[in-house]
Amino acid sequence: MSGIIYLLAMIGSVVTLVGSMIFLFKQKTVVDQNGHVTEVEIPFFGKVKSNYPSIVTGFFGAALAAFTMDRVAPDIPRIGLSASVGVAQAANANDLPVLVGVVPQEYFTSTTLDQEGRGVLEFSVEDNKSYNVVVLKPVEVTPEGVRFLSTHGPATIAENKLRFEGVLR
Amino acid sequence: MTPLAPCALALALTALAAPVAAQSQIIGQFDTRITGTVQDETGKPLAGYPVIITEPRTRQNIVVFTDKDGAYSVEGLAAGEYQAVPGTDTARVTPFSVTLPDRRWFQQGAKSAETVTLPEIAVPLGPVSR
Repeated sequence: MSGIIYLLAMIGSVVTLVGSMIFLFKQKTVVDQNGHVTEVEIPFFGKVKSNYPSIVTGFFGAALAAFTMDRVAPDIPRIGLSASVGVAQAANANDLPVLVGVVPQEYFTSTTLDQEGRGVLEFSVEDNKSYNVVVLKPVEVTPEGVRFLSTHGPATIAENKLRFEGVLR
Repeated sequence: MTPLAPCALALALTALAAPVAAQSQIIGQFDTRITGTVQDETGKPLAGYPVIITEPRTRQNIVVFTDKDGAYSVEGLAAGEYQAVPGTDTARVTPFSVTLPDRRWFQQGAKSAETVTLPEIAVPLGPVSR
């Protein structure tokens, strides 16, 4: 939905909520021509007898507000991130690409492999985005740093879920 | 309906409109900061070394890497009991606890997280045995 529709939905929910509160405070009742209390039909719930239809109106307003607030993306502040890299030996310097990824801290986690050397980690990530998966396994600590086995690749949709399979080499 | 009933209903409806709570994670917008360092057996700082910060109760963990000075830091950990585990020596566990600083409401936005420094981790050089 566009921002205008969100705005209209939010205004509608506020008007509905405030209006229902006003009617509640004023104790307004609605009766039909025969003097019977109004019946309000709610989808999936059926008819609800109530002399306070504004309660139901307030319910719809709250539901509309909850839906709108849930769908509107929060305004997340951004900051620049500069990644400087270099090679230790000039002989390795050439014009081939250097691959750089930035991983949010909450998505960098670990697991252990079973006896057969397999492991699975479950993540909950934002939908409608593409993800690359990088897996590292430390194999040696050297004075220059840690050497890793690695595997990487895209997570692809399979059975309603993003999946990645790789072999550490 | 009593005079207080509309107020109670208004509160209930407002609660309905609240956004759904975010998924529980050990990293969040908490005013906490944990730091530590990793060095090899000769005392030289190890860069790019993985340290696993684990919450044993939920088994959630995150991985942080040391910088060029062998230092690592974690910001935003929720209050709780944790362990710092070297990525190549998982038998050596450093337990620590995180408590949220006691701040007044007008200090909530202050960038003044209290830093907890963990004991230095010394890692043997060579192939990872496990």
